[in-house]
Amino acid sequence: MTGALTLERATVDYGGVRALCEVSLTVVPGRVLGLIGPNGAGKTTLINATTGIVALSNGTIRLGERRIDGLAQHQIARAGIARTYQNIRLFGTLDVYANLAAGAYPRPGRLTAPAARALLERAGISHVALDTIAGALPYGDQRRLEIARALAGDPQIIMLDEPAAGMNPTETARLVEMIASISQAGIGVLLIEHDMTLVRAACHDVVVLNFGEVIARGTPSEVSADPIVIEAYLGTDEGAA
Amino acid sequence: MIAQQLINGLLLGAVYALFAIGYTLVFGVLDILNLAHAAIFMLAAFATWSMLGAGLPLPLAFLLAVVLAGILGVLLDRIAFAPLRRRNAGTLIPLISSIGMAIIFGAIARGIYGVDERHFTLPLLDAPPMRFGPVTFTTVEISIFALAIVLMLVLTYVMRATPLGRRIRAVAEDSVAAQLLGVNLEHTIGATFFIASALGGAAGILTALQYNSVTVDMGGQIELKGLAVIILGGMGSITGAVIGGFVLGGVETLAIAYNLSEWRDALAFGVMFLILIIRPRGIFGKRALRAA
Amino acid sequence: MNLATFYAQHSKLIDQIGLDALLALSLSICLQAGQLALAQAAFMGIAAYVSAVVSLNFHWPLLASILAAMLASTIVAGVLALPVRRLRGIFLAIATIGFGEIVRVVANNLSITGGAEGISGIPPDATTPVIYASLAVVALALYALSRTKFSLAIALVREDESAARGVGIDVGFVRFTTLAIGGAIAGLAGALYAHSQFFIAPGDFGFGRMEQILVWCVIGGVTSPLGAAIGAALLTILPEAIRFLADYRDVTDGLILLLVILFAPRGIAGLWRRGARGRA
Repeated sequence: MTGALTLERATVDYGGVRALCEVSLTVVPGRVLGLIGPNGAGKTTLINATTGIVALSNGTIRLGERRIDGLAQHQIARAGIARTYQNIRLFGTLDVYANLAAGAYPRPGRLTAPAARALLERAGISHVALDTIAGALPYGDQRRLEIARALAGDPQIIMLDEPAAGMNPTETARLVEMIASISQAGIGVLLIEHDMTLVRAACHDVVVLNFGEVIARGTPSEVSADPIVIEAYLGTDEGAA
Repeated sequence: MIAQQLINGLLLGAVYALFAIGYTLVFGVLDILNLAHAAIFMLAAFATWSMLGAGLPLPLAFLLAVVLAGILGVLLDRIAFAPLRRRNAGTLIPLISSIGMAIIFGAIARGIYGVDERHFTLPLLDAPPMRFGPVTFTTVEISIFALAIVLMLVLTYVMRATPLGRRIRAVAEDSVAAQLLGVNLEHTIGATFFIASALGGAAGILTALQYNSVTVDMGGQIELKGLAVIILGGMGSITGAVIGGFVLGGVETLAIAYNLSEWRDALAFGVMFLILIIRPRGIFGKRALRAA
Repeated sequence: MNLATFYAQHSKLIDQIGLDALLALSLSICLQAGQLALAQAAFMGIAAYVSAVVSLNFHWPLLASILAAMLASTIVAGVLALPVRRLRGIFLAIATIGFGEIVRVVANNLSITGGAEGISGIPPDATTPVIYASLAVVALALYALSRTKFSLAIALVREDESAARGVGIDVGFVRFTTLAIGGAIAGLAGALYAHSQFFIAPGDFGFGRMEQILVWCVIGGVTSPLGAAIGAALLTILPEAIRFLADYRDVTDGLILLLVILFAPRGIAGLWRRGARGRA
């Protein structure tokens, strides 16, 4: 049973700062929602709140009908929410297979080698050997291995935190294809990005955050034409940050 | 005799504080626990014993031994920690490295002095105790206390009012920023080890004088008690080490006063354990637990 | 010299190697989960006393005595896991060292443990075959564990706890379990130790022993149980082999440790793997 990820008036206060203020959004299975905003707008806080790393001070987060705010991180992961990290958090000294097996951990049984290779193929890195040490892979491959790891758990929702950072245009184009195929497989995708080309190409809908609040929603073209959004970015909405 | 216990507690606390400052200085600057500190504590005591045996007067022997301790500290850093810094080795590896050096120091001491207990033959130690109303103490005890306080005051002055102290505090705060501001990291670290080990050595000499005993194992207990002090006071905080030292000295002395003398170690470590569960950064510590 | 004479001359050493290997394994499992939990000597001590008391006071046979001791040490380890669950790195190390000291003081002061004099006259039932059979059982069990998914979870917790949580691993459970397993193995070593010594005293289970166990694991390779066991064996044999250095011989322990830290930080296991990879 798949469900949508729904945040309703999610609020996060810590260290005396309101990092997230009454944010409501929905990630629908099969669609890609972009989450954009200037640095410090609260995008990573939103992912951290959803995955249980920080607690909500107010509001709710649901996966389908089930309320997940307040659950432990590993419980949320097992419920079907996977993520990648802004600064890549692979299990660096372990090999590629172990990283994929890690992603598939909650699923019954063990990840077979063919299944592992299928994951690599989905992530566009089928050329990588299963016994390569993850930390030794080139940067672009590491990013995509992280995505493969997220897919390994058969998630309902996958959250990608700036997956295109440091990628060249060719790699970014391949990323767009990968994201499309992920959403076509019925998974809901939340994409945090600075690169507006990627956002326009990959996202069905976009939510814009600034200072922890939603300041705009709509399709990528609607949002990039919105004067409020342009002002928030002070005209730096083109290209990678 | 509350007053007498107070005096005993102050004396114990002063030595604990002096020793713990050494731990906390190194931790504050390098984030590592130096388990060779107690070995230098012991070696300084033996060095003093040897020098007294060779006829040097006590003040001179004390001074030389303290300087020797400082030098050993710098040597310790050069051999066991500096190579690891270049490698970015984390916190467990340097800890183990310090254990290795502690073993080596201990083995050297055992080789030179054997396992027998040594004593001082100083007229000072035979002076009769003096009575001031409800409290009694010996010349040695008051001297130890005074010296410990003086050393702590000197340290405070160095840390607050000298360029070196400012550099050490800068590196402890943020070593990268400090370097950008022109602080020579290796020199500052070396100076930190010199000071920390000198104080640790001083604590060793004072302890040896207080109990009139020097053995290869004399550092064993204070090595662990020192941990309790810095946890209580806060890792990296000198004020914490001082206050923590006196608090621990007080707790232990109270235990003795209430006839719980055999349990005083358990009490000390029990307090430490509680602090770690309730408020791991101690009283003055700034270093919160790194989130997992 | 034939095998029998060799054994007769070195039986004590051979037994010691077996026990030290067990102790190294008990710490190794915790280190594999990234936990610097330095309470193994205390667990060993608790088990040694429990097994001594049930053997002497209640005349339990060896196996029952060992099991009772292991149960005690495992329960204590499991209970200890709770208050320290949020501690990491040096803080966990210090907390567990403190725990060890508390155990030492308790043993020093209870009449049932014989106070500072300890307990003597424990039946020496833990012969070499018993010790090595136990070691074999533990080694097999750990090997079986290494083939399960859980062993992957252990490695992931060591690598990156937060990312481990992110893939659905209950980190608290992994830490609890590895500490309990460590407690059980250390308990086994403790019970066997008690039954192979003429007497046990609180000083046998203090920080000095804990440091030794840590050194073995580091030399063997922090994440490798086999390395830990080999490290223990090597460093147990070494002082005997270099007896001629007399009072200075401990210096070699320290030197080896330093050399390993400075030049082979992954320990013996790391050197082995490096060699294997080089040949591949």
